[in-house]
Amino acid sequence: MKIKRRDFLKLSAATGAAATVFKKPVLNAFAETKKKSVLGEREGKWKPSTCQGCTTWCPVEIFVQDGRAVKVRGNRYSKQNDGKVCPRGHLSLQQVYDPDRLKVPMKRTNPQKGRGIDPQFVPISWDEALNTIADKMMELRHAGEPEKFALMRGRYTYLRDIIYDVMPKVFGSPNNISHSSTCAEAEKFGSFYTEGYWAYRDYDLDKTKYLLVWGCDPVSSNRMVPASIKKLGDVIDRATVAVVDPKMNNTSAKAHEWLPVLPGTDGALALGIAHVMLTEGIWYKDFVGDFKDGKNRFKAAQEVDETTFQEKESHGVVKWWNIAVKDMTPQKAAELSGVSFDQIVRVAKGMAKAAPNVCVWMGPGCAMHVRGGYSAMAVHALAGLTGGTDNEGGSLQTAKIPVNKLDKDLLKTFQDDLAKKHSKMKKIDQRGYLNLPAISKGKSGGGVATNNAANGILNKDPYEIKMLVGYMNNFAFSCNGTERWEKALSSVPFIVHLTTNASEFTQFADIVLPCVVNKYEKYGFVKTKANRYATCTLLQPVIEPVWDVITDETEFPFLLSEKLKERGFPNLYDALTTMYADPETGRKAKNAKEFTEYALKYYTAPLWDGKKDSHGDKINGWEDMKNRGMWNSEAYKYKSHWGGKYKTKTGKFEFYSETLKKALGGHAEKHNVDIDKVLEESNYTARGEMAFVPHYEPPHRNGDMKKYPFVFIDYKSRLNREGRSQNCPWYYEFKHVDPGDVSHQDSLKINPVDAQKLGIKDGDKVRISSIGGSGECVAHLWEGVRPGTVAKAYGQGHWAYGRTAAADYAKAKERGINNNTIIPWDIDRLSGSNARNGGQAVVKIEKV
Amino acid sequence: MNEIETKLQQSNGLRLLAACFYEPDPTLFEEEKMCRNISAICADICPQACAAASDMYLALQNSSLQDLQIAHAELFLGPFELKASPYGSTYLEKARRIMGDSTMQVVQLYRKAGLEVDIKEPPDHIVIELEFLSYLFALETEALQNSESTQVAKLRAEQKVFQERYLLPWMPEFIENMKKGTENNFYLALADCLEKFLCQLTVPDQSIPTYECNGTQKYAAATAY
Amino acid sequence: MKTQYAMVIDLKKCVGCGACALACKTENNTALRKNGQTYNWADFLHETTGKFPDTTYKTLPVLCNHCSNAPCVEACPVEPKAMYKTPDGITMHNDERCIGCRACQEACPYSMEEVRRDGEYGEYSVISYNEEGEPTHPFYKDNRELIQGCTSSGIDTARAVGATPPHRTLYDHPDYEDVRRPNIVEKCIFCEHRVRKGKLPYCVEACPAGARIFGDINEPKSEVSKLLNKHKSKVLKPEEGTKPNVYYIREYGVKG
Ligand code: SF4
Ligand code: SF4
Ligand code: SF4
Ligand code: SF4
Repeated sequence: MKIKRRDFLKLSAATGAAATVFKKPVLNAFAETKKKSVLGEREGKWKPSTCQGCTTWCPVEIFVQDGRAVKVRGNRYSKQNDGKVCPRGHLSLQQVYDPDRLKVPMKRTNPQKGRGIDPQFVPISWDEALNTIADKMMELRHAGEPEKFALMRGRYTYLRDIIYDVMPKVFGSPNNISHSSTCAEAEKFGSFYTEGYWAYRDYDLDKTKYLLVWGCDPVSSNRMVPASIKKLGDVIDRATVAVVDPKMNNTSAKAHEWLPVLPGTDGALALGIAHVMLTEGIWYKDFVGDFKDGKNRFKAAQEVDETTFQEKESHGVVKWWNIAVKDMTPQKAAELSGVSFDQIVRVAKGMAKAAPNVCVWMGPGCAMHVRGGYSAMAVHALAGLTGGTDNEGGSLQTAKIPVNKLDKDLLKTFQDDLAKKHSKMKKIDQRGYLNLPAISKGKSGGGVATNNAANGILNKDPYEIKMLVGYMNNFAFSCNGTERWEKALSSVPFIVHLTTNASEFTQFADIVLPCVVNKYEKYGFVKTKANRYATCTLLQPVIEPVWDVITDETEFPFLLSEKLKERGFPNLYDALTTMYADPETGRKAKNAKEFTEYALKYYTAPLWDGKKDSHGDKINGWEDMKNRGMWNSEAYKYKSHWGGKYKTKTGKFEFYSETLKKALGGHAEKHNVDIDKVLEESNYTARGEMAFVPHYEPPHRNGDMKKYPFVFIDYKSRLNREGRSQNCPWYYEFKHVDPGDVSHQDSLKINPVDAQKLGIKDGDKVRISSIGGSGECVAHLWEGVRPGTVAKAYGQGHWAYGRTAAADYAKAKERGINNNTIIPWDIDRLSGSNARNGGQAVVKIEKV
Repeated sequence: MNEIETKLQQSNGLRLLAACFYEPDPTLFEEEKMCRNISAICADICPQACAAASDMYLALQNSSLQDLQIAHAELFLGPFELKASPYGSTYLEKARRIMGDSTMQVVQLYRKAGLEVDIKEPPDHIVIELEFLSYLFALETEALQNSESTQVAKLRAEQKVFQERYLLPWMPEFIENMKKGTENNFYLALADCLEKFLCQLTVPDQSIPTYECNGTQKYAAATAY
Repeated sequence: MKTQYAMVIDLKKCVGCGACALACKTENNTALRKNGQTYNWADFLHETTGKFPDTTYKTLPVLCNHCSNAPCVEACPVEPKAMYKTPDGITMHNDERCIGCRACQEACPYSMEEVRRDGEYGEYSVISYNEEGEPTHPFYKDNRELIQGCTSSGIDTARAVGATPPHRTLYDHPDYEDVRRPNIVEKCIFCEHRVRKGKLPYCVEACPAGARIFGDINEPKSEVSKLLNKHKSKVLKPEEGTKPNVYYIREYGVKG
């Protein structure tokens, strides 16, 4: 720091005369700004990353001024969001600058574990934290029981392979438990066992003529939220929009039709609609085919001879009719579902008229039931009947994203005998047990049953879990039946939690490691799709992390591998550095930061290395990739799977699911029982052939309706960034953008008729109880819910996480009540899903 | 000395004192007669500081460049603990960290005056703050010359806010630290001189039109958010 | 003809998502609700009518109407006025001149001195007041740590990144600051710091539905003029005679 201008030391002299021009003093430490013209935004830069606030996974850009993140918008290159984000995109700024973020690693000093017991956390160094973890892991290996280590995953990017696959497998544990079945798997079950697609579908809103939204609210959550917001107005102008949802939602408020289905009866309603289409002879014949003589034989309650029908792109429509549809007249469907006969007929005819440009948007509301597998299939079958599957204006599958995969063969070379043997043991979520087929993608035990891991842990079945590592998960809040999780976690001797905030799960941890906030501070990549375009988008640190934190999916395994190597177990270190060498130079990573970037390069290389046509955006090298932040595919080709190319057993769209028959058969055979026994053990009522077709299963209600007279409806707030935005004050301020909600309170929506009977007035504090648990919230009288049902958005009710989320963190006192405490523990055993919709929870409401 | 001359000398004095806190450059100081000018200014407007000013002059003659550099570094630069941290926020913010809120607030005041920091130091560094005050005094001189009474009032209000809130509160501790933190005569005398010089600066009184005064005061408070 | 900036909100396109109001908070660094003041320069009203299942639900985005006949300006007692109309028809607020008397807040038919509830109950306020002697963003002044030595605090976060609020968007404007000081009022200023740079107001740019359209209604070729010619429009509380420049076109839902 030197004096730059000699004149700075010169004295200015008084001139005495007012007329002389005053000479401004010479400046050294300052420069003059052009004061008068100062107007507008100060300098800053829009930097690309990815929002993971919901499953849309939007490519975004973040405006950075002085190294701070200040604003958010969609990525300018995105073909799915046109540079816009939904409200949650903005809300996330309060997450990265959350005053309750963890700054340093900490350890528990109170050996007692349980809800409300202060863990007495104290800060520790990174070294102490990692050494402790490595020592515990080595203990397990020395004892020859590495399977007793479990890894639990929450919010992830596709760099998860490293922490989720490589780490446990090389170490020797089969236990990598994902969170996927907390909100998606039953929905995927519906599309898989009809059209062979185990994923969220894409929706062609631009071309649709009839949009049937079922059990979700596309302008709020589920898929392609910003695109849906953009397009809904035009869709309403151009097409017909019908929404099936037990309560009024944002889309139904604007739509032509709202079908307020009784929770859990979606299967009946879907079949009722199918019944109308078939009996009226208005199904889409270019897809489903027709009677050979053109004469419609579908008449209520009458069996049809299969040989009289010639199918085209589908399989088993007549069988389906005979087994499940023929008796589900619209009258009966109306009775069961609470939707009027007229409306059922009107919707069925409207859809048929618009066929094949019919978009059936099937959401979790019709799937995540105790017996939801078949209602998901039933709803998706309507896409088949109208020819809207994989078709213009309908629901679509995805274009390919040619990224690299985990090299499983290479991985094996780093497993020693112990690891090889023990990583094949049974998993702690008991998937594949007789009563838990979890037949994801056709394989018994192929899918995860997140919620059942609590049972596995509690019952030490198949064995005890001695060490648990969770990252960005919060199962003690996000899984229905929270009490079971609290017990299960209390019973695990050593838990490590990687998290941004001290969440509910954290309260049971022994070591807590602070990690990056995804959208702003993290490297990763995700695959997503919308508007016919598949997208690969990078998460990148657009700012320096606010605190001394690490990247969960890459830095943690790397740092740990170094510690394990010091302790005589180099396999993980060798695996990581070899498998994820820099694809450009072949160099092995020397530190965790390098490792992260090399891993990201390894996976995404085919998009930017120019070696092969990626069938999408042309990107020139890694720097270009980082600058753009994303890659778009070419537009998805309609009817890619027509002509026998569906990934089902028959290659066709299956109304009679040979695929499911095979899967169930495989599971039954494994356990030496028949399929009926499997269904019985899985809490389904179907027997015989019924098991292979979309059909109606009576809803399963947990609790006696005499004691708990209301059916509880759970749904997602449009401001939920999963369960993580409840420490953001803006969440509460704008809570009223959820229909029927009131800001700054946890609103229970109750029909005025019911409220009157109970003597409850608007704004009264009420206690809501089920067999699962009970808590306090505020009654809001609202005509958007049916008498006999009450609705509350998921999100509030934290007893940890932060000053805003919890009523009193120190006392573990919740703010509002977590829906997952009210909804008792249960799952859909066929898909492995958590079951929280379909009205499985019944409740009573008392004024307090 | 009339009002205008006094203001101007105060402005000059503050600027030269600011210069003393830069990296020592005895040749430059000598060539520009810095110490003698300080003495002269003190004689004009601050007799109490005269002794200190001549001590500075003598000390500068008798110190080697290296001595000065070492003393300067120990006091204000590091790499070890700063004997006299030259940053306002160190004193103003309890947490003792650099770039605290008070720092952001002085930046707002600079901006308001149409200035932007142009050296690589945090904006609450002693040289910057002294120069800023010198600048405000110079502008006041200009306004006085042009008989712009509202402008004068406005500038006085700004000086008041800046002195009372950001500069003066940390000066005693800073000067104390300097005195305890060095044995070099130049910096000891400088500390003394600065102390005396600041004492004679009157913080503008209440006779300022309330509208202007409040307006600016409130502005400064805005940075307290 | 001279410019009159206006906003048209197409309710058919609006889905009530909240993005505009949140985006405004990030652009203009407005505070969290306190002392009955919302600091929501953009907000929403909701209305549920009818009986289940024939229920209708609507959302109406609201903001300062930039009235041509603005009672807030009329009421402002300082001279020159702190609340005033710009030549472009924006109801502008000058922070420096404001004395915090709240006369404008009282005079504005779309403002409330104290907002106890929210748009679900029909409550909102265009104008908010920053209490004398209280920090604008107390949330980031709080030094409480949830877990001593392990978690951050509001003030720690603000210090770590060097701004209050930490996500503060920095901009300059001769009339208003990017964070307003205590003892003055504040409200939507149509993002003039953007508009004068040729950009759209931030809520307009952020609306994913394209439901907010901004422009000069005295310019016949502007999008706002065209829309107002094409559709019937409404303004809020026409009976007050304020001549609002925020217009609503079309119905929120198919069923009205
Ligand atoms: S929350 Fe979902 S829809 Fe909203 S911006 Fe983020 S990813 Fe996109
Ligand atoms: S952002 Fe657009 S769609 Fe969303 S509430 Fe605001 S005006 Fe409506
Ligand atoms: S809405 Fe209120 S604050 Fe805005 S111009 Fe009209 S009267 Fe003034
Ligand atoms: S125009 Fe600007 S200030 Fe006004 S509501 Fe929109 S974003 Fe906020």
